[in-house]
Amino acid sequence: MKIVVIGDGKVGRTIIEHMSREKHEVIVIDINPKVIEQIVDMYDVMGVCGSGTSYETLKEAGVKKADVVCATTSSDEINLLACVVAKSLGAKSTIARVRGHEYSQQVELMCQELDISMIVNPEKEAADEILNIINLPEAAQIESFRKGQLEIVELFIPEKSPLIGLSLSSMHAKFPVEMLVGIVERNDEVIIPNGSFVLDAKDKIHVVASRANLRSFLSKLGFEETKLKDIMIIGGGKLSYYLAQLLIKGKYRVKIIEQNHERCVELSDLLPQATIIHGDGTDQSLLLDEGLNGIDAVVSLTGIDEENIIISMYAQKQNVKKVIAKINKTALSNILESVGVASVISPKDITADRIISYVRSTNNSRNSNIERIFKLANGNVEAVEFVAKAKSKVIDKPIKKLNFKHNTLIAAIIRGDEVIIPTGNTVILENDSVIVISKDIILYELNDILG
Amino acid sequence: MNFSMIKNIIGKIMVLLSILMIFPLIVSIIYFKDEGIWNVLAYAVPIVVLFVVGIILSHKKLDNKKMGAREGFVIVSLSWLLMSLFGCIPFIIIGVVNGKQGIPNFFDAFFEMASGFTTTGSSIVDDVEALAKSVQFWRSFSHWIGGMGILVFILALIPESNEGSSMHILRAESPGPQVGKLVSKMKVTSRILYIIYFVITLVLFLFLYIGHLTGIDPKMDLFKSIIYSLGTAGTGGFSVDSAGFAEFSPYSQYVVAIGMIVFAINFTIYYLAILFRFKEIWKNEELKAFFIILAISVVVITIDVYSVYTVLKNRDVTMTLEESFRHSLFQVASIVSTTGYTSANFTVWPTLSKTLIIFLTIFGGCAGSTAGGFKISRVVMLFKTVFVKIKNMISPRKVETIKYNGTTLDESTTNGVQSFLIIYVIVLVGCALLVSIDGNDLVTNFTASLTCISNVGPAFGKAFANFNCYSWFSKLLFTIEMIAGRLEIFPLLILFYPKTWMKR
Repeated sequence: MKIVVIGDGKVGRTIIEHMSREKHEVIVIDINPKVIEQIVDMYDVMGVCGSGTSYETLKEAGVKKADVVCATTSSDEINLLACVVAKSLGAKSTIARVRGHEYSQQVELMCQELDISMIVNPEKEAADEILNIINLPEAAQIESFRKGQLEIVELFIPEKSPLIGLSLSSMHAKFPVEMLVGIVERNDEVIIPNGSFVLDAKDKIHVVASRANLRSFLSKLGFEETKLKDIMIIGGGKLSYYLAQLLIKGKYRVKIIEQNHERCVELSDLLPQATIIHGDGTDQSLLLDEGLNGIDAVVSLTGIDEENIIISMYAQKQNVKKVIAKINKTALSNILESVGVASVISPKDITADRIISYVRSTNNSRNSNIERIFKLANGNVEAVEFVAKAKSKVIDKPIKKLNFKHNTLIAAIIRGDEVIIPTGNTVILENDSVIVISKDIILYELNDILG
Repeated sequence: MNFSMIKNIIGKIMVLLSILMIFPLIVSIIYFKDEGIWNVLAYAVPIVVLFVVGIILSHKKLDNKKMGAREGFVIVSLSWLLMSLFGCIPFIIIGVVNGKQGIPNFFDAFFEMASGFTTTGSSIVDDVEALAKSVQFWRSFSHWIGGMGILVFILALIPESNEGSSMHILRAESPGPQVGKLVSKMKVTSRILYIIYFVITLVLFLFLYIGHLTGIDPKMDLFKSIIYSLGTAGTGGFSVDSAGFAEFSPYSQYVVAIGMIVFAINFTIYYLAILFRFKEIWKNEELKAFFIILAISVVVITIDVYSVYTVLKNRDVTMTLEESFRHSLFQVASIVSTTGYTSANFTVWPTLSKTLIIFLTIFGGCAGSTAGGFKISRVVMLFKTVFVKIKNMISPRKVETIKYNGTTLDESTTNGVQSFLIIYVIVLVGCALLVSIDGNDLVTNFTASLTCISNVGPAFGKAFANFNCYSWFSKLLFTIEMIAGRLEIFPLLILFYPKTWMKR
């Protein structure tokens, strides 16, 4: 497929990386020649230097024959305009990143009127994900399928956990809950485990289950249900606004700390129920003054990764129950996770996930549709939701009779309102949603999992 | 430095070389009755050895696939050195057994092979007609391989690596100041280039062979048609006739002259032409400059030669106007494309013509073609830089950018061109200085060094027909100079920079 990416920022680069790895034909447009030179050296892509809204530049990049055009520059308006120009040139589908809250109410209108295939708002999606984590603070990460019907939750196994020394097949006997351990991360190694796999302390496990089953699993593990109430958000950017809005709707008490006075005024205007504090979030005495000790959760969302890390570490030291940090550089998020501190949110990866899902689902196949893709465990593993169709080879047969590729796993099946954790005798039916976990394999259709 | 990666690619190069050697092996089998079993074994044994060693070196899967700029440079220069080193083994074997059919001396054989792969076409063979057919073929075939580049060929064939770092290889191997891909996938780019290359070579071959079939040029038989179309396509210049092109018919001379011009043009132009993007072709300043230089040179040399030979009657023989035009067109095309075929002994031409030819030797062809030399695009950029400098001297506060092909040149490109000029001159003069130990005259030394670095072939003075007036040391020096010239010097220099070989 031919994919044109406009704007080689953080999101753009993640998309380029994944797309060129999936062997698509990628063309990058950026206004800065240095950036273009760099990207062409790093990946097998072609670079075009120029403005993404200019007809000539887009024509030179071959937008006419492009299957997907993604506009991911830092400006919403440029992204929208670039999509409009690209569409008029003949691009099959267009994706724009639009982050401003002023546009968030009119996404559908813009999609229709401007003929844009998809508008991604990473800040808003990141806010959704943070809210999920605040609702289930035991989890480090949560990815949800079908509007929360099924979730993949990342848990850290602490010392003295009853799970230590248990093999996965004997786990079900001790904790009779409909759930499945899909991925285990152990010292930088990512494993798709089988039944004989034995868990150990400090493993990170990704559990696939419905929310209710997950709760009961956690309570059986001895986690008491913690309900967070007071949330402190540091940094008053777009993401903070979206998050605060959601939290206020969920009856949380929200305090936002923002450095820029004008932005504070703006925020207090937009969010009358929240407490807006004008001050430097990295100033520890200020945080203590604002009652950091009594706060349930700190969400650090400043624009600088390093600041977020330091704030998180400090908050952890003050015994805040839950700490969440926004980090866009993958290397840095590894550092924070290795210290065992907090949940890490990366809007960049969320956007890239969405766009990759879209691109791969346009690659329509007759035996299945891709609904959603999540990259897990630092992008090493994919969880893909397929809808099985009549032509697929996996349906109407017990799973144990199918021959799967190494490093693939059918994690769950969603049939209507029912969530099924498959066993050997489970049969996949037509129109079931099948969630597949795979490592090092790129899946385009459901049949790809068969060996 | 990723040594395992380099080992792996070197192994692949050896496998590729062994596969390429199958072609001369076939030729030696065809001429088995005349030339005997040794000429067959001379290819068969190296093929087996290279294949086995290559597989051993490259079979292991790589854990570290990281390739940076320096790995790219090192891989390219090592590959070229090793290709020439291993490729000359058959010459030596045949030479030791059958004397004049091959090249018994190692330094001679190495020189000859490097001259083949770098498409120079300078030779050390006294009597090219006495060479075994398979040796004649392998020499010319190496032109064809070397013309487009060995590693571009590998990029076209091997399964693509996970990261796009193959760009470093393309940049190190492809001639010219600015290197770009035609399409976004490297593999597709190199395939397109090779398809264009192959098709034009085939057309050229058909034109030459039709000349033979219709009786226009009985001398241009099937074997020679193949040899000369391969040599022209790679802009190499190895000949299998002692008299060069002088004894072929005017038809063949015109065909080869036009062929040489075609292969001296940037291959991107042909790609754009296939896509009907003529507007972009028209914008290409290098192409315009190339044709202007070509036209002026042909006109001046035609007039010069015609007046000296026929009007003033300063020589023993006379030349008609058509002959003067044909020879000057052939010679200008041959030199500017850095091929080096000769249709007439231009060393006895008038001084103006000779001087012009030396200038053309420096300029070379277009970037992104199979031709060598300094490249027309660099000449154009240099002139523009100098022009802007002069304007700047008159009004120092004036800000002016240098435009090339409609876009602004950034400073790193113009700086690159300037430093290339400096290193080009240093290598050229340094080499001429070192070979002067052998005691040959100044013109011979200087033009021999120039012809090697520009990958042209013939020099003035004693080195016109072959380089046998030089010692083994000078030949080795010229060998390295040819490879340096083909790779545009920097990749080869990087091999001698100690930090290249250190761990990160």
